[in-house]
Amino acid sequence: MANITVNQANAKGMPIQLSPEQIREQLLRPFPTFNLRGILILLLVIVILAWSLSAVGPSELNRITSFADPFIAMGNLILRMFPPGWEVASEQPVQISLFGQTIVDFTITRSTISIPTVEYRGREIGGSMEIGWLPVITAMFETIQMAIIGTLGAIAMALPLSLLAARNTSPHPFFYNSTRLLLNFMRSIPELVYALLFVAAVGLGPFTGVLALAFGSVGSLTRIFSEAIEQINPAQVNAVRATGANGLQTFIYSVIPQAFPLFISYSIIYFEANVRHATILGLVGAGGLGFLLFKYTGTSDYDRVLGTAIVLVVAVTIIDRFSTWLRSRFI
Amino acid sequence: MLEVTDLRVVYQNGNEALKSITFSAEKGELIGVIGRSGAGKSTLLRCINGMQKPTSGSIVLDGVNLTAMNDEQLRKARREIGFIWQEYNLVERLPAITNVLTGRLGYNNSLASFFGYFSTEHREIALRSLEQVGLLHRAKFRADKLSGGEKQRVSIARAISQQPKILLADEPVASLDPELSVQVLGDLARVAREVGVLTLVNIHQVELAQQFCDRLVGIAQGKIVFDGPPSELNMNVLDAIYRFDKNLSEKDLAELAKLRELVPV
Repeated sequence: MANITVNQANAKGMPIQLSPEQIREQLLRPFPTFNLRGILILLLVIVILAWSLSAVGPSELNRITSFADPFIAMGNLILRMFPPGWEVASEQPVQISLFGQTIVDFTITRSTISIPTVEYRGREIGGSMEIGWLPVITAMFETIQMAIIGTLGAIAMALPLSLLAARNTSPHPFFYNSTRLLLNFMRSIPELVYALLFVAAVGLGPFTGVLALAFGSVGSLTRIFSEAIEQINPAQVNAVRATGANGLQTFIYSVIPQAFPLFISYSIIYFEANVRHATILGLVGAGGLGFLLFKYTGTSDYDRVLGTAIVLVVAVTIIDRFSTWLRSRFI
Repeated sequence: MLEVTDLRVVYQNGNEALKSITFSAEKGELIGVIGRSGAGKSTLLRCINGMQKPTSGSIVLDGVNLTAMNDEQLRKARREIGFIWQEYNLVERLPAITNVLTGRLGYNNSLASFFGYFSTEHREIALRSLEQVGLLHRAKFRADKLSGGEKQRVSIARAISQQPKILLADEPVASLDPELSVQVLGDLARVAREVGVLTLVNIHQVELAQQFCDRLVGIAQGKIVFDGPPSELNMNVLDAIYRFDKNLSEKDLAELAKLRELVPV
């Protein structure tokens, strides 16, 4: 009992032999001891923080000269957003046809209605009001449609790829490594860059957004799917294989059922994320809410920016609740 | 029907699990394999099933040598080898009936199984197997909703639905309480006799093995040290199987003798 080996190593990686008295003395100290190494690390951290801040902190370009300036600037912007406003389309055709049969065909026209003004606690309420179709609603549906199809495209690509990228189902380390390499490459490119590339290839519009979303999420989705496959219980797989089932059958009847809840769960999470990503894609002309945001910021219609943001928040909240409910049905 | 000749298994780490196993078995026999943990019981079953490649020796099932096969031949052969696991190993998220139907996968077309299609004949066999273990009323329950005893019975049904030539059970009741152990092993023995299939059961409870098996094989240190009907099992044989490495003092022996009077083997 003379020397006890503790979980501590010296510079050569050999465990240091400490006597019980030394361990007791170390553990009884109420304050951590500073050594030269600790101080050097602390200094290094401070230097890195200062260096980063010197390059990206506020400068004259931001027109900030005093401490109060940022608050004034932000307050000014926020004031210009109130009250929130929505653009009303002058004419919105509504056409629904199925199998060549027109079911619905009418046009929503903007009209101004006047409401008698009412005096309430010294303030006038009422006046004239514009009613009609809000383009922001069309844009919202377009964003959601883009997210649905984009996510489905990503899932369709991720399912077969995840088989190759999971260590336990990959046919050969060569496939495993090359798929992982491809995925890392795809994952390191953000959706926005995909969108820019596809704008160049297939032009503007929602389809571009769908392609960008699908290719932007397939990398991460495959990685998560393959990790779900790696987590399954191999004993259940062995039991099915032991009945004489072939590779595909074993996969369908033992791997898929086990990974299924995670597949569903992550697909829904990616759908949620894609609704938000689809908004950003509007900035490069892929349509949807983002395009409106881009348009309104360009024309300095900050009340409409706020109006669009409110619609986005409401839509994302509803989708969030819905997908939480949907996930709970599958787990 | 089953001929195991001079079977030897040496693991990568140099551990010799089976030294020289030779025995044969006929159709319809119910054989209990007894021995201490690590004696090589599981290795023997895994060799017959093809999960473990033997170092030397041969296993011939119904005229087919199982030790000299490529992967595809082995897959075909496995269709006729039912396996029952200690931890059931049902696919937990699938209903009981689908778990039993997995026993028919080897006979089903790949594309058909992709779409979950099993012909009425396959379904007939699966339902009959489930009926034989008395769990037809649980057919649509998800496997993770079943109790331990029910799970093991579903796994027996899965093995039976393969219509196997040989049934291998690796500690089928080790995860169950004593009462359920008797019931489940009883079911296994009954079903095996009804179907008339050669069955090998690894088992720790010697009393259960004596009660249900026609023949017992005792393995110690990778060798067969006993092979005969349960009635021939006696204290000396059990010492050879379970206490070969104990140098018992006279005092220990006296205490053991006392215990044996209390608890008849």
